Amino acid sequence: MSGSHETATRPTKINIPESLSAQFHREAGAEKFGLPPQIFAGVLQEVATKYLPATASPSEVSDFLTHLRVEELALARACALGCEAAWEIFLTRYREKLFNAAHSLVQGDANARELADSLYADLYGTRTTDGRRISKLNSFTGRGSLEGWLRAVLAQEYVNRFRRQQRLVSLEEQAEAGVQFEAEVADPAQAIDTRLREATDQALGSLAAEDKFILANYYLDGRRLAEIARLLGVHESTISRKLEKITAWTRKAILSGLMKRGMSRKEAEQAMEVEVTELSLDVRRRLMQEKGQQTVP
Amino acid sequence: MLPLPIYLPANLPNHFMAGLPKIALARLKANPESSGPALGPDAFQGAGHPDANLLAAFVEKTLTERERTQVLNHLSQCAECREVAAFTLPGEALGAEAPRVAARRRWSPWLVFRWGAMAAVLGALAVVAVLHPGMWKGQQEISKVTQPPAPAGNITSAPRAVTVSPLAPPPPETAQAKAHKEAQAPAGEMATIEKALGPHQDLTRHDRAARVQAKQQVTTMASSRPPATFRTENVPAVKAEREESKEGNALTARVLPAPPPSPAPAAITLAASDAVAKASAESQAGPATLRATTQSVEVAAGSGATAAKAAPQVPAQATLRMRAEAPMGAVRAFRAGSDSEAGPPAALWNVAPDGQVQRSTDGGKTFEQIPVAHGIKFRAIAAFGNDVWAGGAGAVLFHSVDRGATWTRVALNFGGNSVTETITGIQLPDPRHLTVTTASGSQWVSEDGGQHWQKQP
Repeated sequence: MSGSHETATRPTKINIPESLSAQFHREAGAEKFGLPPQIFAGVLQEVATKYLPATASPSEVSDFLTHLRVEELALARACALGCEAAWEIFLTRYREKLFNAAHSLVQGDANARELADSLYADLYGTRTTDGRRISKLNSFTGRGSLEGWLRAVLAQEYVNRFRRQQRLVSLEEQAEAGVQFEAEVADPAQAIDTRLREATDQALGSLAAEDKFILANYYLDGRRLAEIARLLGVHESTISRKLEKITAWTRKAILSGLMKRGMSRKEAEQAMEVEVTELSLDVRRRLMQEKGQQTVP
Repeated sequence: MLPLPIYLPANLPNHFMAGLPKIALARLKANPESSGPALGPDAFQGAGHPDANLLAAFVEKTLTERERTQVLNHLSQCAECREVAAFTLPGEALGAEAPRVAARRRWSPWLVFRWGAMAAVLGALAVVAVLHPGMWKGQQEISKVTQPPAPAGNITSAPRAVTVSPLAPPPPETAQAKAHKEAQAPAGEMATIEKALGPHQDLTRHDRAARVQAKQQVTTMASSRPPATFRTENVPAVKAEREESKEGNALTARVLPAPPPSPAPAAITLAASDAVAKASAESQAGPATLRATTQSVEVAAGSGATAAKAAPQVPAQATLRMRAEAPMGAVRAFRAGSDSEAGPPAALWNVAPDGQVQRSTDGGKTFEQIPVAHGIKFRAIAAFGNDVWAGGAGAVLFHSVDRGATWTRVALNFGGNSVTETITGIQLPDPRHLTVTTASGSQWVSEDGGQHWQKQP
């Protein structure tokens, strides 16, 4: 998933003035990583092309580039090109952090080391195309910090591993666990009144993206208010208030939708309390579901 | 097998599922919706998931509003990406979780009524106390005898002077009247005073002057007990002035307009010469730490004439500590300036979700936006008195010494290298000591008000 592959389908590239790219080249200290100005200009163009619309004005481009982590971008791309000096800096800065991140995901030093090492291999590039190593660092675009990106990549690798290992569970183990003979669970939404489903969908569809995110994190994933607050960058009490507000609003909207669809208030209230079974199985199945053969990138 | 921390509703307490109808939960999971307009051709990869760049930027709050909405839309439907986003948060932040707060906390009507009735009674008592100050007189007489011993450190055994705390002395005529009254104190009261002074005070029978002075102090403490009065600096304040009425001991409180901001850090100056009030304030101030420097009242012994002399106006420190250790990007509000039970709240500082700095001077009812720097999203703020520090994306750090009127950018450099991570926390125990926490959890400490920085190991 190199950056060049990602931008290959884009017909129009964003033009970045040479003076601007030279300025960012200086600011990034790309010279000390051994990254020439021309290559860095290409990197900036690739990143801008990836995220900005083709009609972006020069000021929008400049503003976008200003908010990039250009120093870390230069470091990552220099590493991808195989610059030894850059790799030394990278390892000095991120080796321990990467291991710590792995340790927070898996239990045991050995597992953490294995997870971190597997990522190192991808970062260095074990595959080659046309004689060039394909490094995962080529996909870093500097939108967030390099450390944050490494944690995200590590987490994706972890989820992928988990899913792969789930697929490799032996039949004996499945038989012992009774999974092999598990009955297919019907879609709970199919067994309920269509009016209830429609009213619910309408209510949920009216929610803002952040509200749905809060609901999903709290009710589906069971995250704590503090975790959700950290994800959204607000205080825990804000999430608590919002959650209460969203929940009340959703109930009210569903109730109102049901009454508009011909139910009396009592019927609507009873319909809302309908028992929808097997939610937990659905969550697990969704988490482990596969979308074809594609894994999380 | 690697254990993936999956949170299942089945494992959760009963109240957890009570809020949202179960059908809504089911549809929330099984209702993939369009993610809105595309970010860019390749912003979401082929599988339809945001790439690691976007997830990291989302967690670090560096996405544009449009991108953030797109990512939120996706995350609300994709459990895998939510897991990844949660993993992307720095580890130590997840470790320090507060206990779950019930989302649907309802007050029982009976409880509300009970607390309401109690508040009404207290309010009525307060009104009576203000309107009829003379009713305290009887209590003051009792207090003279039953008052616990004053701290030994506040009383010197020097023959000619007694040092009492706290700061401001009573008006000279008040002290005079009290000295005169104390000169005629009954023997039983003197015995109480001697007992109160305890064995640490080396007072002889010949040291009559010191004894009178000691008695003067205890009486001053007792008679000035109600109400504990403060004059707060920096904020609109309530100052209760003690006035001698025609009857002699009536106390009158009146509200004064706010004094101009003081350059001193958040401080509460005790307006009355009242050690008891100080102790009371210490117990009521909650998180505030009250440190009162002493101020002396010199009493000319024997003559009956009393001269009061105030020590230099070193403010009694009711230092309010503001700590800015909130999670990444959290909305934070800190009190700057003084705060006490007796006065209205001081300035509150807050970082809005859109990264703008806000200040409230009415106890948090309304916040005004304080312009700091254009186009910078702040994530953390801390204040101590007039000193305010705000940090945000790209390690930007701004400092104001005048409660947000003007701001100066402070470079966060260490050993020739500049920090580039987002600042997510600021601790400001006092104006010179500053600790800045970045998104990766690194901490940078300055012990000279931001001039030099050191990375904490």
